[in-house]
Amino acid sequence: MAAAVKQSEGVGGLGRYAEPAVLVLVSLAEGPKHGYAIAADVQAVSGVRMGPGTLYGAIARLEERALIEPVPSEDRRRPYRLTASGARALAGHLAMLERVTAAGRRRLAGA
Amino acid sequence: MRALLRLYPRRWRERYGEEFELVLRGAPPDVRTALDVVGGALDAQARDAAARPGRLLRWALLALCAAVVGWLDVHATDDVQPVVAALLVFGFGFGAHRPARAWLAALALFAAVPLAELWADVAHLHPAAIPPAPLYETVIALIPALLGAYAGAAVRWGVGLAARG
Repeated sequence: MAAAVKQSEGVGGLGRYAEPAVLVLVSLAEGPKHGYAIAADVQAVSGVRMGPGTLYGAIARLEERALIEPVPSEDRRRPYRLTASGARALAGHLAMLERVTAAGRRRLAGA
Repeated sequence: MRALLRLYPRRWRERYGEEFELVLRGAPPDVRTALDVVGGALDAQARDAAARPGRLLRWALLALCAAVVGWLDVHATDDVQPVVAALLVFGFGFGAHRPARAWLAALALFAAVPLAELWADVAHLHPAAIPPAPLYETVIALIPALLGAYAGAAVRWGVGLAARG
């Protein structure tokens, strides 16, 4: 059951959208943002230019999995925010990346 | 570039269309952006189809019926009646099922005829005794396809009106 919950909350299983999804989650970890602000922030933080198709592919998947949610707004530009399960999923994914990074550095140093 | 938004499913456009358009306006109007938008549209269409298996089944059934029309067109070479009957019956069924999309069903069923003719030409399936007719003549198949589809739609609309009043 724990594994099933972890899978449903994780960012795995998003296929080629896993990386954009993580970038979106990292951007929203700072606070609610609308699509254009997310794309600008992702480019500033990672250097990745995320096109509208990729951005909204990731947003749709994250919203479907309840990892992000829209913030009620009168503005045409709807902001999104991280949910509690989104924050947990991001933390878990970053911890995994840290383990992979550490292992990679160790192995490169020994090579 | 905004025209590419039409490639996305209607439900997706209703949900994300407006904000997507605002982001699209800020993106560089280059080939990379266009490819990204088209890729996103294909992905959204695939997800939309997977979320609504009934829709996928309808398309599969329409493709199967079109294949039957094409098969009849190639094999019933001495008589146009089987093809006409198939176009009328299948068109009627799809038109009655989705009256608003009767035109689409008619076009898809009709398209099977010139495609089958082309295939028969390429694969040399036409009997030697009967020379193949020019391809443009197959446009006549649009008549039974549209007749069947809109007869089905009319019946459905008539039943709907009778039920309401």
